[in-house]
Amino acid sequence: MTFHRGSSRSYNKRPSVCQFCVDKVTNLDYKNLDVLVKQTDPEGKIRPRRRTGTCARHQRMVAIAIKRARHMALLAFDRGSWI
Amino acid sequence: MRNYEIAVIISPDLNDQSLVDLKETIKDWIISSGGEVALVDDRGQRKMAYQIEKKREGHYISWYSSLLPSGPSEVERQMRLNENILRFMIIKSDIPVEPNEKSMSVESDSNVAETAASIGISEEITEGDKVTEVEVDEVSGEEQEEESG
Repeated sequence: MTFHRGSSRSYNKRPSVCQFCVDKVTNLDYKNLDVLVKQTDPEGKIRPRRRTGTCARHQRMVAIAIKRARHMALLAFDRGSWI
Repeated sequence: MRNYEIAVIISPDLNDQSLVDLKETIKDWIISSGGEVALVDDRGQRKMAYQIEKKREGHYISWYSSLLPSGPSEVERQMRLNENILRFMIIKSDIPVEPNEKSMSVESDSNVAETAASIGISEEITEGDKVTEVEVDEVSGEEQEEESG
Protein backbone atom coordinates (compact mmCIF):
# COMPACT_ATOMS: atom_id res chain seq x y z
CA MET A 1 0.00 0.00 0.00
CA THR A 2 1.43 3.25 -1.06
CA PHE A 3 0.96 6.33 1.02
CA HIS A 4 0.85 9.60 -0.84
CA ARG A 5 2.59 12.21 1.12
CA GLY A 6 0.82 15.56 1.11
CA SER A 7 -2.62 16.07 -0.32
CA SER A 8 -3.70 14.71 -3.66
CA ARG A 9 -5.70 17.86 -4.35
CA SER A 10 -4.70 19.42 -7.58
CA TYR A 11 -4.09 23.11 -7.63
CA ASN A 12 -3.50 25.65 -10.30
CA LYS A 13 -0.30 27.51 -9.98
CA ARG A 14 -0.78 31.22 -9.52
CA PRO A 15 0.23 33.26 -12.57
CA SER A 16 3.53 34.89 -11.74
CA VAL A 17 2.72 38.35 -13.10
CA CYS A 18 -0.18 40.67 -12.34
CA GLN A 19 -2.08 41.21 -15.59
CA PHE A 20 -3.09 44.73 -14.51
CA CYS A 21 0.56 45.66 -14.00
CA VAL A 22 1.37 44.37 -17.47
CA ASP A 23 -1.40 46.55 -18.90
CA LYS A 24 -0.24 49.49 -16.73
CA VAL A 25 -3.74 50.05 -15.29
CA THR A 26 -3.87 53.16 -13.11
CA ASN A 27 -7.60 53.38 -12.41
CA LEU A 28 -10.36 50.85 -12.88
CA ASP A 29 -13.89 52.05 -13.59
CA TYR A 30 -16.85 50.12 -12.18
CA LYS A 31 -18.50 50.32 -15.61
CA ASN A 32 -15.68 48.36 -17.22
CA LEU A 33 -17.60 45.09 -17.08
CA ASP A 34 -15.43 43.17 -19.55
CA VAL A 35 -12.57 43.27 -17.05
CA LEU A 36 -14.64 42.87 -13.89
CA VAL A 37 -16.55 39.79 -15.05
CA LYS A 38 -13.23 37.99 -15.53
CA GLN A 39 -12.38 38.75 -11.90
CA THR A 40 -15.49 36.98 -10.62
CA ASP A 41 -16.20 33.26 -10.46
CA PRO A 42 -19.42 31.66 -11.84
CA GLU A 43 -21.18 32.33 -8.53
CA GLY A 44 -20.33 36.00 -8.76
CA LYS A 45 -17.69 35.99 -6.02
CA ILE A 46 -14.50 38.02 -6.34
CA ARG A 47 -11.71 35.67 -7.44
CA PRO A 48 -8.85 35.51 -4.95
CA ARG A 49 -5.35 36.73 -5.68
CA ARG A 50 -3.97 33.20 -5.42
CA ARG A 51 -6.04 32.28 -8.50
CA THR A 52 -5.59 35.37 -10.63
CA GLY A 53 -2.08 36.48 -9.69
CA THR A 54 -3.25 40.08 -9.24
CA CYS A 55 -0.95 42.19 -7.09
CA ALA A 56 -2.23 43.65 -3.81
CA ARG A 57 -2.59 47.16 -5.17
CA HIS A 58 -4.63 46.12 -8.18
CA GLN A 59 -6.69 43.62 -6.17
CA ARG A 60 -7.87 46.52 -4.01
CA MET A 61 -8.92 48.40 -7.15
CA VAL A 62 -10.70 45.30 -8.50
CA ALA A 63 -12.55 44.75 -5.20
CA ILE A 64 -13.76 48.35 -5.01
CA ALA A 65 -14.86 48.36 -8.66
CA ILE A 66 -16.77 45.07 -8.30
CA LYS A 67 -18.54 46.28 -5.16
CA ARG A 68 -19.55 49.49 -6.93
CA ALA A 69 -20.80 47.54 -9.95
CA ARG A 70 -22.86 45.33 -7.62
CA HIS A 71 -24.42 48.37 -5.97
CA MET A 72 -25.47 49.72 -9.37
CA ALA A 73 -26.92 46.31 -10.38
CA LEU A 74 -24.34 45.79 -13.12
CA LEU A 75 -23.04 42.62 -11.44
CA ALA A 76 -25.00 40.20 -9.29
CA PHE A 77 -24.23 39.81 -5.60
CA ASP A 78 -25.09 36.11 -5.85
CA ARG A 79 -25.56 34.43 -9.20
CA GLY A 80 -26.38 31.11 -7.50
CA SER A 81 -24.45 27.84 -7.62
CA TRP A 82 -26.57 26.15 -10.29
CA ILE A 83 -24.24 26.97 -13.18
CA MET B 1 -14.26 71.92 -5.72
CA ARG B 2 -13.75 68.24 -6.28
CA ASN B 3 -14.70 66.05 -9.22
CA TYR B 4 -17.41 63.48 -8.70
CA GLU B 5 -19.40 61.01 -10.72
CA ILE B 6 -23.09 61.00 -9.81
CA ALA B 7 -24.46 57.72 -11.16
CA VAL B 8 -28.20 57.18 -11.16
CA ILE B 9 -30.58 54.38 -12.12
CA ILE B 10 -33.93 55.86 -13.14
CA SER B 11 -37.17 53.88 -13.23
CA PRO B 12 -37.98 52.46 -16.70
CA ASP B 13 -41.69 53.29 -16.25
CA LEU B 14 -41.19 57.00 -16.84
CA ASN B 15 -42.31 58.35 -20.20
CA ASP B 16 -39.97 60.38 -22.37
CA GLN B 17 -41.14 63.79 -21.19
CA SER B 18 -40.91 63.04 -17.45
CA LEU B 19 -37.51 61.44 -18.01
CA VAL B 20 -36.27 64.67 -19.59
CA ASP B 21 -37.83 66.63 -16.73
CA LEU B 22 -36.16 64.44 -14.11
CA LYS B 23 -32.78 64.81 -15.82
CA GLU B 24 -33.29 68.56 -15.80
CA THR B 25 -34.23 68.45 -12.09
CA ILE B 26 -31.13 66.48 -11.15
CA LYS B 27 -28.99 68.95 -13.08
CA ASP B 28 -30.67 71.75 -11.11
CA TRP B 29 -29.85 70.02 -7.82
CA ILE B 30 -26.19 69.85 -8.83
CA ILE B 31 -26.07 73.50 -9.90
CA SER B 32 -28.08 74.81 -6.92
CA SER B 33 -25.66 73.09 -4.52
CA GLY B 34 -22.87 75.16 -6.09
CA GLY B 35 -21.59 72.56 -8.53
CA GLU B 36 -20.92 72.44 -12.24
CA VAL B 37 -21.81 69.68 -14.68
CA ALA B 38 -18.91 68.80 -16.95
CA LEU B 39 -20.32 65.82 -18.81
CA VAL B 40 -23.53 63.77 -18.94
CA ASP B 41 -23.15 60.11 -19.87
CA ASP B 42 -26.56 58.68 -20.78
CA ARG B 43 -26.11 54.95 -21.29
CA GLY B 44 -29.77 54.24 -21.94
CA GLN B 45 -32.05 51.53 -20.66
CA ARG B 46 -30.45 48.26 -19.67
CA LYS B 47 -31.28 45.01 -17.91
CA MET B 48 -30.17 45.03 -14.28
CA ALA B 49 -28.32 42.14 -12.65
CA TYR B 50 -31.03 41.85 -10.01
CA GLN B 51 -34.44 43.37 -9.43
CA ILE B 52 -34.75 46.73 -7.69
CA GLU B 53 -38.25 47.65 -6.50
CA LYS B 54 -39.65 44.79 -8.62
CA LYS B 55 -38.14 46.29 -11.77
CA ARG B 56 -35.84 44.34 -14.06
CA GLU B 57 -34.57 47.23 -16.18
CA GLY B 58 -33.23 50.65 -15.42
CA HIS B 59 -32.14 53.78 -17.21
CA TYR B 60 -28.46 54.46 -16.46
CA ILE B 61 -27.20 58.04 -16.45
CA SER B 62 -24.00 59.53 -14.98
CA TRP B 63 -23.28 63.18 -14.33
CA TYR B 64 -19.58 63.97 -14.15
CA SER B 65 -19.41 67.18 -12.18
CA SER B 66 -17.41 69.22 -9.71
CA LEU B 67 -19.10 69.84 -6.37
CA LEU B 68 -18.41 71.88 -3.27
CA PRO B 69 -17.60 69.93 -0.08
CA SER B 70 -21.25 70.28 0.96
CA GLY B 71 -22.49 69.21 -2.49
CA PRO B 72 -22.64 65.39 -2.20
CA SER B 73 -24.77 65.38 0.95
CA GLU B 74 -27.10 67.97 -0.55
CA VAL B 75 -27.58 66.04 -3.79
CA GLU B 76 -27.90 62.77 -1.86
CA ARG B 77 -30.70 64.18 0.33
CA GLN B 78 -32.68 65.22 -2.76
CA MET B 79 -32.12 61.86 -4.47
CA ARG B 80 -33.46 59.92 -1.51
CA LEU B 81 -36.75 61.83 -1.68
CA ASN B 82 -37.43 61.03 -5.34
CA GLU B 83 -39.24 57.73 -5.93
CA ASN B 84 -38.30 57.48 -9.60
CA ILE B 85 -34.61 57.16 -8.71
CA LEU B 86 -34.12 53.45 -8.07
CA ARG B 87 -30.46 53.64 -7.03
CA PHE B 88 -27.73 56.26 -7.01
CA MET B 89 -24.06 56.51 -6.19
CA ILE B 90 -21.80 59.53 -5.76
CA ILE B 91 -18.12 58.68 -6.08
CA LYS B 92 -14.93 60.65 -6.44
CA SER B 93 -13.95 60.38 -10.07
CA ASP B 94 -12.01 62.24 -12.69
CA ILE B 95 -13.86 63.44 -15.76
CA PRO B 96 -13.21 60.92 -18.53
CA VAL B 97 -11.77 62.22 -21.76
CA GLU B 98 -13.73 59.77 -23.92
CA PRO B 99 -16.74 58.55 -21.95
CA ASN B 100 -17.92 55.90 -24.37
CA GLU B 101 -14.57 54.21 -24.77
CA LYS B 102 -14.54 52.39 -21.46
CA SER B 103 -18.26 52.58 -20.93
CA MET B 104 -20.54 49.63 -20.31
CA SER B 105 -19.78 46.42 -22.09
CA VAL B 106 -22.00 46.60 -25.10
CA GLU B 107 -21.65 43.86 -27.69
CA SER B 108 -21.97 46.45 -30.43
CA ASP B 109 -18.72 48.25 -29.60
CA SER B 110 -17.59 47.80 -33.17
CA ASN B 111 -20.81 49.42 -34.45
CA VAL B 112 -20.33 52.40 -32.17
CA ALA B 113 -16.75 52.75 -33.34
CA GLU B 114 -17.83 52.65 -36.98
CA THR B 115 -20.50 55.30 -36.52
CA ALA B 116 -18.06 57.45 -34.59
CA ALA B 117 -15.54 57.17 -37.37
CA SER B 118 -18.02 57.99 -40.10
CA ILE B 119 -20.22 60.61 -38.42
CA GLY B 120 -18.01 62.21 -35.83
CA ILE B 121 -17.68 62.46 -32.06
CA SER B 122 -20.78 64.62 -31.53
CA GLU B 123 -22.97 61.93 -33.05
CA GLU B 124 -21.29 59.10 -31.18
CA ILE B 125 -23.34 59.26 -28.00
CA THR B 126 -26.74 59.36 -29.67
CA GLU B 127 -25.83 56.54 -32.01
CA GLY B 128 -24.57 54.46 -29.11
CA ASP B 129 -27.84 54.99 -27.25
CA LYS B 130 -29.91 53.84 -30.18
CA VAL B 131 -27.84 50.69 -30.48
CA THR B 132 -28.15 49.87 -26.79
CA GLU B 133 -31.92 50.44 -26.84
CA VAL B 134 -32.31 47.99 -29.69
CA GLU B 135 -30.25 45.43 -27.81
CA VAL B 136 -32.26 45.82 -24.65
CA ASP B 137 -35.43 45.19 -26.64
CA GLU B 138 -33.95 42.02 -28.07
CA VAL B 139 -32.89 40.79 -24.65
CA SER B 140 -36.28 41.48 -23.09
CA GLY B 141 -37.97 39.73 -26.03
CA GLU B 142 -35.89 36.59 -25.49
CA GLU B 143 -36.62 36.72 -21.83
CA GLN B 144 -40.37 36.85 -22.41
CA GLU B 145 -40.13 33.87 -24.73
CA GLU B 146 -38.32 31.91 -22.05
CA GLU B 147 -40.89 32.80 -19.47
CA SER B 148 -43.82 31.86 -21.68
CA GLY B 149 -42.16 28.60 -22.81
